[in-house]
Amino acid sequence: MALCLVLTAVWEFHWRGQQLEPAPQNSNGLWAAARRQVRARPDATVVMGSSRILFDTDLDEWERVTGTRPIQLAIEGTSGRVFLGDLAKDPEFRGFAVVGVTPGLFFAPFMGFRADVIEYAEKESPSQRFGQFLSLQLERGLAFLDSDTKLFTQLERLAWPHRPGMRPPVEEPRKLMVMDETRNTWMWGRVENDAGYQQLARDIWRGLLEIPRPPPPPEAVDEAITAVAADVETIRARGGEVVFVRPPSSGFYLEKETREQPRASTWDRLLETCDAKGVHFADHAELAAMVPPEWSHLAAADRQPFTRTVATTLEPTYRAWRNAR
Amino acid sequence: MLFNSLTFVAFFAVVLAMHNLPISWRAKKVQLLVASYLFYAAWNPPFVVLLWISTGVDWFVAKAMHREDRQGRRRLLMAVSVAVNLGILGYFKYGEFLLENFVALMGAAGIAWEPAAPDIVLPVGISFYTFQTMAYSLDVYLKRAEPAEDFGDFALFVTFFPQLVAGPIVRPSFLIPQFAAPRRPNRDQLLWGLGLLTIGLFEKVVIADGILAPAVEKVFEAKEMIPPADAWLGAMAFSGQIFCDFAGYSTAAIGVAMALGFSLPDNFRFPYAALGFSDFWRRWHISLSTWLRDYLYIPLGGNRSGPTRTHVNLMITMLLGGLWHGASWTFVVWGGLHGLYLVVERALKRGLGGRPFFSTAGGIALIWLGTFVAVDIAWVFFRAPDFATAWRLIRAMLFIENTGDMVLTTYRIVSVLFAVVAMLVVHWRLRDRTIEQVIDRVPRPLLGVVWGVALFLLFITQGSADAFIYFQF
Repeated sequence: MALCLVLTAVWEFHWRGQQLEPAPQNSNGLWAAARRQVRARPDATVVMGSSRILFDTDLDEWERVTGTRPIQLAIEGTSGRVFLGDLAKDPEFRGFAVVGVTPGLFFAPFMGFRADVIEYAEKESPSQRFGQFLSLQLERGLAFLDSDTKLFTQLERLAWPHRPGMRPPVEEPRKLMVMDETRNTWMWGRVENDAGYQQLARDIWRGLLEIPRPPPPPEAVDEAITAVAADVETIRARGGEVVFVRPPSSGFYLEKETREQPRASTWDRLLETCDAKGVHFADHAELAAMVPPEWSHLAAADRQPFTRTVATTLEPTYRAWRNAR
Repeated sequence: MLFNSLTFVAFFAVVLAMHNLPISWRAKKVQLLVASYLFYAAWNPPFVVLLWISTGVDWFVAKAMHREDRQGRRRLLMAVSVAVNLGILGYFKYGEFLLENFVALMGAAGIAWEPAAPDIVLPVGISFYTFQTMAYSLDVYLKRAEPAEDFGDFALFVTFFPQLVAGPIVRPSFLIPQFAAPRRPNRDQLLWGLGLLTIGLFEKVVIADGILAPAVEKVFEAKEMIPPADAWLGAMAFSGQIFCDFAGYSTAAIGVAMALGFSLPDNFRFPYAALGFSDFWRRWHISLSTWLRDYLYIPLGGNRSGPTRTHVNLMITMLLGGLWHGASWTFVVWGGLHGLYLVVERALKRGLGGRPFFSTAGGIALIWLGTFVAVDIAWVFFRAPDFATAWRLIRAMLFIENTGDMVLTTYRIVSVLFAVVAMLVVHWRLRDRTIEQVIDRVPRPLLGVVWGVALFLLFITQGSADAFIYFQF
């Protein structure tokens, strides 16, 4: 046992030396806890979408601007449509839904890598729920519990020789963010201050974006917008409201999005069809000037001004909705 | 709850502490019973009712059968137990499967019918505790054992949490007497128990989930043809994964019970060292294979009525054994293949058994590898989500097709080969020993170092609390 403790301590110090700090993990259990909060506060402001709206939204700042603290349901690699659909199906939800739009995900048939989190939350067993509580206590004190430090994840990342004849495998994204217990999230410092790590993050995005895939069927955008409009109508019929946010992207990511999901045929049509308000980063000079360090997510320091602009822009809609209830 | 979860660590620490309190034996048994219900309810609380039904029915049926002399009445009582237990199992485990097949049959007869989706949730471990309680009633019916005297002891036998959800399937005569007299683990038992728990979790978290599962997923979830090398590596990886997952659970269960002062039977004896298929089934999931032998194969007539009838009995037993594992035809094919292997083995033994070659090192190696390869081929049907995937992999493994994109990277190939070769070497070298005998021979300081490193690897692998594969059965 003493040997195990010594080895574990060495492992912990090694990871702290890599700028890792103890922090809650972005687990299904933590998401399920946030989803339960929505059930407890069905008229809450709820943020949903993929990693961009997750990283870029500062819940504290939103609370300062609007007087209400949002619940963060966004999760990486997953379309905001998944969460909007889930809330539309929830007969109790009548809150203010802020839906993040990452074009490549939002207007595609694929709903995302962690869409099953909704089923997890519905079926979470008492054992899993208690396990999440215990895990959180450990995560508060141990940096090595980060999912990026797992032994076999590290082994896989060693420089293994390429298997002749095999298409080069695409790396999974590495650690990019830090989250607190309310799922308030910001970019991990190393992505900003370590140029090599930042370049690696960009290379991984490029690798993922360049995977040869058949183009989405031409009707995919129409179908996505139609489905979202139906969900918006359902939520509004219950007294809720839905708004959309398109966070900034840059570099190769933005080029690809501009080419494959042109604004006019996606974002503009979405707002028009849903008759909804939205904030597109390109419409606000201060947002357009923000450059995501690894092309997809804002630097930690930019979250506050980004959130302030978004919340301030949407505040009239929020007030009108509140007053109408 | 899962053994590889923080919830279990906390639960077991509390149970262990309470089990060592200076209170009466009866109070400790009540504690264990309540803990066992909590353990089960931690998944899905309403399903505890199924345990109560199974417990109540078999308690009363066995008592009534024991009092009854008229064979007709005894048979009727036994039928009640079988109907209730298999009825519950049939509804929850096979309900959707039966409905699907009925719809397909109607469709084949030209009657189109689309029923509402039944959406039945499978209670975890239902196949295990159903067989365990049925064994109790069957033993009383066959007059192999008398009914338990104490209802609490019987309820604890049905519910005992270390082996409740994935075995070993314990016979009443093995476990119920252990509840009769006070049992308090001594220091050695406690250490042995915790050691076995560590070994079991290491097998599950580090080897099955950490090393092998990702390669298995890549191969069995590929939607297109893959090259033979990838197919073979995937099948071998699954042979290692299923062993480390299931034997890991059994070892952990034995360890947990031992730390509380109880003994559970071995469930695995290094099965990949088997020389032939009857040897394999003497080493793999022993508590199920002996259950099927004693309550199905022998009552069917066993090998007492000539070779043809023996082969039919073997096939029936293995086909039903396959179906026990899961409500899908792929499991039936897996069972059928093993039945066929056993039949062919018997024929080969009759025809070639005396040849001196099979006693040489080369002959033994040939039988060993042949057994492993045939078992691997059968595993493909066990793991594949559907027949299309299974046939695709079999075609690749038999070199009928040699096309498709590679799916395993160098890292995956190295890790699978490392784990599978190490497993085969360990199984072969330890084939005639138990894990306890092996551990007993290791010097204590070295054992301490190995234990410490194993725990460390467990911590830094950070299992994702994946359920044990056999929980779904």
